[in-house]
Amino acid sequence: MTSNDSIETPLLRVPFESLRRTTRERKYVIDEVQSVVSTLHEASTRPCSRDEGEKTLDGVLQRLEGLKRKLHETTKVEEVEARRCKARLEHLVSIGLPEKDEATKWNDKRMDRILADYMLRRGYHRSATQLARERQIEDLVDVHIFAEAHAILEGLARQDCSAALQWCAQHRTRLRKIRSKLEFTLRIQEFVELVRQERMLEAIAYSRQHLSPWSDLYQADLQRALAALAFRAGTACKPYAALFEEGAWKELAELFRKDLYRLHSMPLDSQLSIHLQAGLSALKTPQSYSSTSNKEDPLSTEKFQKLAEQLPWSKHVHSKLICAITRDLMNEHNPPMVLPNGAVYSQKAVQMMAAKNHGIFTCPKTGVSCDVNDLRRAYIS
Amino acid sequence: MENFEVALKEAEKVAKRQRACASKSADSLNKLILEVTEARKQLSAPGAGVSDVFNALEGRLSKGDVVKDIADNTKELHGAVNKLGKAVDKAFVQDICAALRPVQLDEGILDQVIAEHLYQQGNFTVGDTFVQEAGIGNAAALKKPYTAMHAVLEQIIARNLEPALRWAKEHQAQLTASNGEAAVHAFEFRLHQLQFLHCLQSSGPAKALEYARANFGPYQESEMAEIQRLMGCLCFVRRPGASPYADLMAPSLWSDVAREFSRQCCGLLGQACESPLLVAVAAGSLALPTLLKLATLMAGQNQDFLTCNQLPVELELGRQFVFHSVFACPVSREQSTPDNSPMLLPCGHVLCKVSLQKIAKGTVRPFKCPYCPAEATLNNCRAIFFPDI
Repeated sequence: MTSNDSIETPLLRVPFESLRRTTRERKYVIDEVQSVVSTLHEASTRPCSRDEGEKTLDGVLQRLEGLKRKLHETTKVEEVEARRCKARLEHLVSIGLPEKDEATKWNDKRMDRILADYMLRRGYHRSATQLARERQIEDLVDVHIFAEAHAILEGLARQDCSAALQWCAQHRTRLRKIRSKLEFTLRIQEFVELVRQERMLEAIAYSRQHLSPWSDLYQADLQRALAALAFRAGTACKPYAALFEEGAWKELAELFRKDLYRLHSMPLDSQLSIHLQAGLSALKTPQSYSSTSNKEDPLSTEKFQKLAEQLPWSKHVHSKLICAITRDLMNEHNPPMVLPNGAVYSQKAVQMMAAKNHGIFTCPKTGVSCDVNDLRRAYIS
Repeated sequence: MENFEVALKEAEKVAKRQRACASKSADSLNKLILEVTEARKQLSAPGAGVSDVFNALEGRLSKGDVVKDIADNTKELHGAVNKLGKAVDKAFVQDICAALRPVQLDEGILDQVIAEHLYQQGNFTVGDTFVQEAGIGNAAALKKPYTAMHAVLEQIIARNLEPALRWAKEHQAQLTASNGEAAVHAFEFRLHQLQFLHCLQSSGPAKALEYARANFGPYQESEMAEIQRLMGCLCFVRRPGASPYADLMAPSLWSDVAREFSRQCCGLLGQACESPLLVAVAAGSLALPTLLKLATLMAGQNQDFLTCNQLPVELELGRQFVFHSVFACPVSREQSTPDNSPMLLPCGHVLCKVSLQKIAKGTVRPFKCPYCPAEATLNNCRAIFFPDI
């Protein structure tokens, strides 16, 4: 295996980034402790009254107790994430690399976690947790991340932003770092809802308090939203009608999902869709779509054909010829033989049939019989 | 693989460091708090000098190096985490989405496919929950074919072949129609063979012999060699592990038979033996590394990977994923189509019709085969085809 080509990136990146972040938080806490100690040092160098001294020590104690609590929390998170990293790498080492022609068997060992990830992203929380528990892959699946997201998404489905806004406040610094527009968009939505209900004064007050801080970042959006005051719900004027559309809530949920993924270093798409896109393209051949297609080909079914609709075809510059009788590959060791009617079978199949039928070969597809000596070898490079 | 092992070692180190660091810094912090509390107590005692108390505290703290300890520990943890980060970067691709097209797979269909996959794998409890949560309507129809199959499979895993034998008997006619008599015979015999071996191990040679007499009769002709081997096995009942028949006692025989049974069963149901979702994901896992590299490469050259109608390179997925014969013309490098069928030259070389017409420039004019000195005319070339597998 050459370097960095494992496709399990999300599996490790998620717990690792969280671990890195948490150890950084630990550093901030420790820095705080140091600064507290330096205040003690400072206090010892200058004279002060008993009252002042008592106050200083009380203050120091209070800060230290707070830091102790924080450190305890940090430690707990670190522990869990370090364990996750370890468990996931252990899993990767234990499943190893796929042996030649064992790709399906090998992927069977990854499938459950790939499915659980997809279920979580789709919001099928119960299925995902059940699958994770049953297959004992809890450490390999990010259920914990989606547990908090679940309540927020439910809120947004009820057209309620409060849980989402709370989440934004909780992660404000990090959201700002990834340039998240989520909080602003949530605020706009709450503002629009006030306008929809014709509570104009409240809407204006709301915009002063919650929208104005964003003016330097999203000036245009802000102006457009405020202009909605003049138009009201049900307007036909296009840019403003869009503000009042019901779909906005769905878009909010999408936006939240995207920012959630970015915040936790997850790819925006599930491993399942990433794999399916690649796999279906690699398998997509015009032959899959024929009515007599091999049923082992996923693309012979209507459902997979629909899934592959917008994907590119696979490319073949080398022939791959399979004998319809023995299912062996035809090559120079087992060359293709051509019947007078043009049908091609492998030499092995021809010899096998001929041995049973006194030198006569019968084509199982067309029923045409001929003498083995009338078959011609084809040379296919 | 090596990369994973390196990363795992680093992760183990991180876990160890983390434990050490956590306990040490908690200890140091506690000590610090204790000292300050002590100083606070001294200060409130009557007659204590404020600067004395502070100086004493300062002295105790600097002597214990409390703060330095905490900082050092943290630094070590950071070092370990950074090393793990490097190992992780080395092992995994940067951007897993680089080759992803901005097309959304139809989620409704994907849900159905997943439900079917769960049922086909026999994961009925999760399947039922999933169907409920995803709101899939025709769940019963998706599930039904697999319930009977897994009932038998469970029994096979519990070392009971009765239901499998019964199933084979009940479906004998259908199986023969689709697979041919020989294949059905072979499958039935495999079940009897395993039952015989199980009988031998659990109830002894007398019972096994009885079973053989009662059941091996119909297979005398086709499976003689195998039956002789099974009988030979009777001499080694007590120490099968050391005998030449050790392979007949391997536990993997049971899982092999279970696999074979589900293959037969899915075949009759008109389903693929392997879950199509699993096959597609497996193909994806093989294709992805190449596609990711390609996408980065092409993006660097300002070519667009994400809009092409055909993948720009051939992917070798292995025999497992070749479901159709594919003929690619050695001259044009294009795949044959019904309108551009492969043509056999008199010398035995094969080209696509379009390439051949370009070379021939007319139906009767002789031309040289591009691969050998032989001459041919378009009229003495003929179309060939590869029957479906």
